[in-house]
Amino acid sequence: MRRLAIVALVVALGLVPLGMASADGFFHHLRVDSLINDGITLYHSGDYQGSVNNLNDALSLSTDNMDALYDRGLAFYALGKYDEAAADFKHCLQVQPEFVPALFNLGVTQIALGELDDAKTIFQQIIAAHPTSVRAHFDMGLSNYMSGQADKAVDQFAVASFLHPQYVQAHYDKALAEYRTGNLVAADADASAALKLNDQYARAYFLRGAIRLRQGNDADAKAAFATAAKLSTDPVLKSLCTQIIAQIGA
Amino acid sequence: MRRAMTTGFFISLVRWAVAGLVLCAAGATFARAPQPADAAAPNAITLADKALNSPSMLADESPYELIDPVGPGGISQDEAKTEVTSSTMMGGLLGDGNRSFTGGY
Repeated sequence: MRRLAIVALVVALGLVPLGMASADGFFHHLRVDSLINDGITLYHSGDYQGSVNNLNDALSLSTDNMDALYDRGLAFYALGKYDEAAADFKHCLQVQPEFVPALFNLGVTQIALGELDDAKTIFQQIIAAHPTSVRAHFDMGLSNYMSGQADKAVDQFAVASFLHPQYVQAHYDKALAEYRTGNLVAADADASAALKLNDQYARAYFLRGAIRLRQGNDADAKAAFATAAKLSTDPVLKSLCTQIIAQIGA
Repeated sequence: MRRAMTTGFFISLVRWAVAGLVLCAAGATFARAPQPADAAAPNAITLADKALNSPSMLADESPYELIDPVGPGGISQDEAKTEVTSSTMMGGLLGDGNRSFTGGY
C-alpha cells in the first residue's frame, strides 16, 4: 500500500511540470487570442495603428500566427502602408499557401502598389481555381482597366455583373470601360443598369452626362451633370459638374 | 442682236438667282442641323473625359476592398475563403456597418 502511495506521489510530481506547461500554453494562447481580438476591434473602429500595435504584440508571442499576420496586413493596408501589407500577406502564403483570402488581398495590394501585372497574375490564378469568383473577376477588371486594357476590363466586369446582377459597381465600371472603348450604346445601357439599381449614384449620372455630350444631346447632358452635382458628396465632382454645365452653355 | 443680249442677261440673272437660293437653302440647313457635340462643347467633353479617365472615377468595392479580418473577434478562415470564392458579393460578415453591394457613390 505504501509502495503504491509512493508510486502515486512520484507520478503526481512528474505530472506537475506537465500541467504547469499545459497551463502556461493555455494562458499563452489566451493572451494571443485576446490581442488579436482587440486588434480586430480596433481595426473595425478605424484605429488602424492601434490594431497594428496589438497584432505586433500577438506576433511577438506567436511569430507565425496566421490570423495575426493576415489581420496586420489589413491594418497596414488601411494605413496606406502597402509594402508592409504585401509582406504580411506573402508571409501568410508561406505559412499556409492555400489560404486564398491572403492571396486575394495580396492582389488588391498589388493594385494599390501599381504592380498591375502581378495583380493580374494573382487574380487569374484565383479565377483558374474558382471560375465563379465574382470578386476575382471584378478585381481582374480593375487591373485591366487601370493598365489601359479597357476591352478586357469590359469582359471581366461583364462576368462579375452576370454572376451578381445586383452588383451595381460592376455595372458602373463596365459602363466606364465601354465608354473608354468608344462603345457609347453599351456604355449607356450599363450606366442605366447601374442607375436602375441605385438612382442616387452620382458618378453614374456623371458618366451618363458624358455619354449624352458625345451623342450631341446637350440638354440631356446638362440634366445628367446637374443631377450628379446634386447627388455627389465629393466637392471636386460637384465643382467639375458646374464647370461642365457652364461650358455647355444655354 | 439686242434680243440675244437680253436673253443672255436674263439667263445670267437666273443663274445668279439660283446660286443665291442654293446658298440660302444651304445656310438654313446648316443652321438648323444639330451641331456635333465635339464642335459645340469641346471643353465640356475634355473636362468630362479627363475626369472619367482618372482612376478615382472607378468604383471599387470600398469598404470591401479586402476580405474581412479572421480570428477571434473576426470571421473564420473558412468564411474568409467563401468571401473570395463566392459567385455573389459577400462582405461585412461581422455586420459592422451599413454595407451594401447595391450601393455606389
